[in-house]
Amino acid sequence: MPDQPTRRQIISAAALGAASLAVPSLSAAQSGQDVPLDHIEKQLASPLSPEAKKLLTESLKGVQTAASDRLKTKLPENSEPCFNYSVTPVKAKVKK
Amino acid sequence: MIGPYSSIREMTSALKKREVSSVELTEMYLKRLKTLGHEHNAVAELTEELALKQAKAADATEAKSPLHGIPYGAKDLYATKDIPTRWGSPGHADQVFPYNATSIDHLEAAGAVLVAKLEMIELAGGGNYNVANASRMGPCLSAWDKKLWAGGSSSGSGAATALGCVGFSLGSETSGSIVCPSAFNGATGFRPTYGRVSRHGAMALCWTLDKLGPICRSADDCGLVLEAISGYDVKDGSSLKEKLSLRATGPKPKIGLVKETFKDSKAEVCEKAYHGALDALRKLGYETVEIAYPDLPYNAAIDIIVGAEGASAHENFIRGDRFQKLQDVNQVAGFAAALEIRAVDYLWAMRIRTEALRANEVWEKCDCIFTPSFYHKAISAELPFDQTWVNMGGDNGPSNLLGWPAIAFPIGFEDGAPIGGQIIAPALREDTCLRVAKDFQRVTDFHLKHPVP
Repeated sequence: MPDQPTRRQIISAAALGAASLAVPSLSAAQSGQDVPLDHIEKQLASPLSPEAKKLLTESLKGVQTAASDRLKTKLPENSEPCFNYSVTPVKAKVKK
Repeated sequence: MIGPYSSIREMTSALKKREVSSVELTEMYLKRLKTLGHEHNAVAELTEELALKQAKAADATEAKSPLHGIPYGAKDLYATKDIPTRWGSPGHADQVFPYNATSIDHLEAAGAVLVAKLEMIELAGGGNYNVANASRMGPCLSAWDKKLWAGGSSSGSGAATALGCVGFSLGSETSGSIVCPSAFNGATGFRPTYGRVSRHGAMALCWTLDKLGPICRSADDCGLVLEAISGYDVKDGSSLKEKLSLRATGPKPKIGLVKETFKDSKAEVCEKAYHGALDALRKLGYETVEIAYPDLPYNAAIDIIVGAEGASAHENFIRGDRFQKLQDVNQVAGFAAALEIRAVDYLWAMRIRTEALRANEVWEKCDCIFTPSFYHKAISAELPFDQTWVNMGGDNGPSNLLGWPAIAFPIGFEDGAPIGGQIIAPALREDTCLRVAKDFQRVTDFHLKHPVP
């Protein structure tokens, strides 16, 4: 862990709190477009404060790095996510 | 002589012998919660009326369990019928549920007495908080030093327990929220296997990572509480049907030591305490072996999973008109951004989680793992974390991602504030965690040291 970690690193690596982070629009970040602040803000009930906008921009910049780092870890072909859908059987209305 | 720091067994014994009543214990803890608890911003809501009613009932009936008549506090993310459950958030100030979380029901059935809801980081910190003040009541302060943070997100549970304001408490952990406040307050916290304790009625931050567990003053207390709250629950599809057994027998577990621990660190005090703890364990007959986890991006996967699930769990709130009432603007920015996480990124993280199962290979070499909880004492309660969280270390392995249990306990002090270590075990082996921690606490007294108010 670097001596001056980002908030993201603090939360994840040091396992502070219930740890989480914002991982915003990777597509925009990956393609080098401007941060999609407007798009995010339109989803909210009220406009973000200037400070929140600034922090959101920072967070999105961090995500750009995270998104590219993620791709460095190659997953095996045909691997599965760690959950399975389980069907829920119901009582048949008519006996077979 | 029963006092605020008495163990559960001591209180139970005194209650049985009628040396003290549950009402007296309850009044003692209520008094401390009203003074020390409030001074440390550890209290979300006192439940005095309910507590005295439950205590009177406990005094009037035969003991149902070792927790009968014992006053406790619950992190304010556990639903409590008709009592506010605010999740630490100013945006949820008037939230009241008409039902209890399953754990609260279990404790009620065991005869325990709910004296307070305890403060927490708002929404369990799911939006990337950066200040101790990310909590409705203000920064929760360490039991040992009011200049230091009590840790998060089970802040009040850690502080109130260490301050002797409750007999025991309940916390929760997604990725560090029991271990951190236990370390920063010198408490003993038990994060059980994922699914061991029903999540029903507890605030969801991350359905696939959230675990509920006790924060107490000793490993023995943790075992008693975990026995009471664990078990399958039809209301939580992820709860386990495997029965909990904490009675470990057989040869002493072999302890794994992570190769990278203290690598390039400047943590002389913690390193000394850690090696002192290891010496104590070796004297007890425990063997150690060096281990290494497979090199995988465990934390990157956790970040994405918590971000995506947290944004979904709180989407109504994020899109609603109270969202910007959150105390820490970092949380506003974090939750807002998390709405944009792509499905492909989430599924990458969940596939990494499948790959991470390879880490179970470490259990071929050892039965449990001992790591420092962090490399230093609690950080400042006043400064932003990105200025103070420096070289803190911690468990960067797969334990939370894979739902492994861990027990965190004090192993020493740095400048008068506690530092902690943790025993991590394979899934379903809480008995191993408890056995080692109890053995350690049998021959050391760090857990018996208490802050001077």
